[in-house]
Amino acid sequence: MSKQQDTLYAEAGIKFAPAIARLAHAMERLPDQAAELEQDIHLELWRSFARFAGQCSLSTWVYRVAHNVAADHVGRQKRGMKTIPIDQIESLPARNDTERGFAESHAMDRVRHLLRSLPAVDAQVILLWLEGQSGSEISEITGLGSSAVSVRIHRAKAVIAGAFNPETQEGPDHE
Amino acid sequence: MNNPPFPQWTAQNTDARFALPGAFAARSSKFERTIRRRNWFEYGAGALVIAGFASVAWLTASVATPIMTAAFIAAILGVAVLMFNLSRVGSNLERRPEQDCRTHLKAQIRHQHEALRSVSKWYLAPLVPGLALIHIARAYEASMRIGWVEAVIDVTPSAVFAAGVLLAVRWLNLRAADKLEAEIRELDQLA
Repeated sequence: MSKQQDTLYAEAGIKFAPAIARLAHAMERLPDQAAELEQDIHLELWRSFARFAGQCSLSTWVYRVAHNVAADHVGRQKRGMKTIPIDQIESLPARNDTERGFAESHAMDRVRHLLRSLPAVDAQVILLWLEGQSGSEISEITGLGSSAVSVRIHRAKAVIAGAFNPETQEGPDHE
Repeated sequence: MNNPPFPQWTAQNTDARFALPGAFAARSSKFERTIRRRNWFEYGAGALVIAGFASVAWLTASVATPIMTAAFIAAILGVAVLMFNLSRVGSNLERRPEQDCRTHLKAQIRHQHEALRSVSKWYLAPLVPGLALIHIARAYEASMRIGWVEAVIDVTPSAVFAAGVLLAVRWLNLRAADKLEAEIRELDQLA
């Protein structure tokens, strides 16, 4: 373990641990699976910092590793289920009975439910947008073109805004 | 970074912390554990098949014709080659999760696509000599009792069934490869 690897890991922990926890809980419905995913992301981040040489910003690096590990983690289940692209979704899905036990807000549940039903690339863009990443940052992290990112953010706003703020159907513009 | 559109979202899990690096020493990720489990399962199944053929070959060695013994040996070698190919073709890509998400996903899909597309070569072909020889040996042994015409008629159904299974496996894999190819095209369009 190099000192730089340790330093980068500590810095990433301070800046991104909450975002990674939110990602894990958005992608995995069961708490123990989410905790396992969170640990896997920490592990892969720590390993990856041995290869970090300033190829991109720390933020881009951390989000790339986190989202790729999450996609691998849920990939097996997602391949077996039918996902619906964000451009075909009109509104947030209703919370289903199995999720009623979780003491979380209705809106958060519905957003997480939506994210789990989307193809990986759509979910990645929307999660990064929810974390406050700009369109260009999302492009750099996901490798999607700016128009593909914009379309997804636009759709996400239309679908999610009402759940967070029923009085305004549009969230703040953030592309 | 950073102007979250909905502060309610980023207000969650604010007390989260990274695990200490010391906890990683003996830990492998779920991905790695899944691959290890899959490899053990596949090698275990291969070992059972090899043991089955070997025991039949051993038990019938004194009464079977040399061609039948050769058929069992060919089948054992075929399964051994298949196991070797599984470890080579079925192994995973080098992990580079710091690639952008589209490139990472595309590399995974491309890897699976190539394995499925070439399934005839690395998975089915090693089994063909053993299966073919077993049917030839059965026909040869039967021909000594009932003649060649009756013997061929006798083994035809199982030969057709075996060929059908191989062709069905090939077709299913090629169909799955086509679906992955469509996914790759979709990902390319997003660049």
